[in-house]
Amino acid sequence: MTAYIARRFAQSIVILLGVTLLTFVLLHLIPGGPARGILGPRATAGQIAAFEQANDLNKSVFQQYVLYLDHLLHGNFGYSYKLNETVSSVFAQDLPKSLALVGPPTVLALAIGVLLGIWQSQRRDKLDDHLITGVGYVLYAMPDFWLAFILIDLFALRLFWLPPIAPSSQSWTAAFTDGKAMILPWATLTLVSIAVFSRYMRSSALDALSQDCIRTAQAKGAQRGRILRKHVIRNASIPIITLIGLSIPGLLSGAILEEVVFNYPGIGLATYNAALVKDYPILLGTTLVFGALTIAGNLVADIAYAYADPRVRLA
Amino acid sequence: MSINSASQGMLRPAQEEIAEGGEVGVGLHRGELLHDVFWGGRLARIGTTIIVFVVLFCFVGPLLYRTNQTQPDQLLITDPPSSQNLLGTDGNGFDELGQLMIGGQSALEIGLASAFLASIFGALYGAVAGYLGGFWDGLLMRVVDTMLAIPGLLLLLLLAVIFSNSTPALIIILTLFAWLGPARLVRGETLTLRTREYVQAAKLMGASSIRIVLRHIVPNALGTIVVNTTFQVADAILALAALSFLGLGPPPPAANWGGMLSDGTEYLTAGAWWLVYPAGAAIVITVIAFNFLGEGIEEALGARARS
Repeated sequence: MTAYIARRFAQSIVILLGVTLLTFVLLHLIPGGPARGILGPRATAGQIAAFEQANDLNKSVFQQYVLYLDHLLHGNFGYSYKLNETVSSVFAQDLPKSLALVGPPTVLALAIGVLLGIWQSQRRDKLDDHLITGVGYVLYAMPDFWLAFILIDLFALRLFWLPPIAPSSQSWTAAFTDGKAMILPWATLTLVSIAVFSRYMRSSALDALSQDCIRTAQAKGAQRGRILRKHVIRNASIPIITLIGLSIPGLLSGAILEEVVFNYPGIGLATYNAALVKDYPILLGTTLVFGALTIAGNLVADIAYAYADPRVRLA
Repeated sequence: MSINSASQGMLRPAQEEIAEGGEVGVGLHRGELLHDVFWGGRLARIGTTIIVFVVLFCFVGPLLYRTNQTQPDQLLITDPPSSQNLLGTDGNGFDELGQLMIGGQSALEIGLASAFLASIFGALYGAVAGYLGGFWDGLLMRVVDTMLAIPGLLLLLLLAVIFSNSTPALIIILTLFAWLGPARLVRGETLTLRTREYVQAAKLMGASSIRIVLRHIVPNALGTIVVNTTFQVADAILALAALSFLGLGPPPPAANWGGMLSDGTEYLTAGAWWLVYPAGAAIVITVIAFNFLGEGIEEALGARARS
């Protein structure tokens, strides 16, 4: 197990380095060069020269990359001249808010998706199975911002039950203290994720049902509920661990869109605003942090999987 | 969706299992194969029918349903549906149904083009990585892993900001994000294909690596590639919609579904439902059609193409 964890850890470090290399390359691909990209089109030649001097942009590319890594390791993700703030302080402020947006729907969608998937596996090819699959299909094919607008139109603009925008407080706790305003954003993200989780769980449960241990249990006369609990759910839940890890990038992408739709001041909205004014330090910072989150998520999922299913460690 | 997604195909369980690479179309006449693929199963039939309808709607529709799409009309801003404008008019006074047709053209063109480019590049990349194996495989696949670690929409956003968002640039940007899936799939398939007797035989006869990859490996992974391309079209349309919603889609005046949705939402509080629902429905229907077709082909070819 230690060897497996060590190997996966090393792989993650390599990929993380890859992400830093990618952001570094993108920084240098900015038309006009990184100095002009960061300072903006109005910067004078003198300002650009000074910036290049101060940020070692006249050193060799290799030296620059090493320095870049050094900065990152010291928590220096760059400085946004557009916001007049360091990138890390923007993250410290906005990332918790995004996690408060993404967290509850993920847990909720997971619970509902797993139950739906097991239900469907028991009702295979019956009307309700097809119905749930159909609805999941439509939800999956739906742009999530469109789903958000449908919910806003229905529940906020026509029925007046819920506010159409999320709390815009600077504190992440607002998501929980002003829960009513979070219902629509949370509901949108939950619905989109349920489609994925339930479909995956259905096929995973069907897979588990076809295994020999189920037939043996049936032959021994075990009751249906017991078989379901002891064999099907246990075996079928293991792949879900991987799925949680894999769904992180999708959730973060979804967060960007939802935050724009509901005007929720998380890191997604900050990224969107950065894209509008070409605020490269923020954009590249988000790329790094989201990349790191994804890599860490996959690593944790893989290790959890190896604990749950010892066969993986040998692979 | 999740372009989540932009949609890296979230409904497709990511299993690293290695597929059984079957030889494509063995014992089947080409015509029969085509029939099976596009018409054989129920899903394929529904998918093909809808796609044909959408293509006719977008490309032939404007010839039959002639509307003013060039001169903004101040007197016709956000008019509700009427006998004159079947789906009402948008914020510029353009006929919404006509916009929907034109918007679909760019969605289909950009979606198809980037899906094809991504499949070709991804398949070759994956085949080379799988065939070379060892160090090169490790290196090439870490590049793929690195790019997959960045949420798709963010990568698209970043690329669209750094480069321009003209139509050709958008195709390339979407391709840069979409080739990762086929690369992984084809690499997995190549790992089994390269141990097959006919590949070994070709190698013994002195065939070059390029020849083996192009003549033996890629053709036998073709089923997987074709099915995946179909899913890629759906994903690209969704990704383009998300990008357009964020204001980085094809530049105006060209209409596109995502951009129409984005504009339409500004009039949602005024009750202009016709600017929000039809464009979204068009995206959903088209995406479902391509997913159906993909599943239909998958069934017919027995290929495993979910990344």
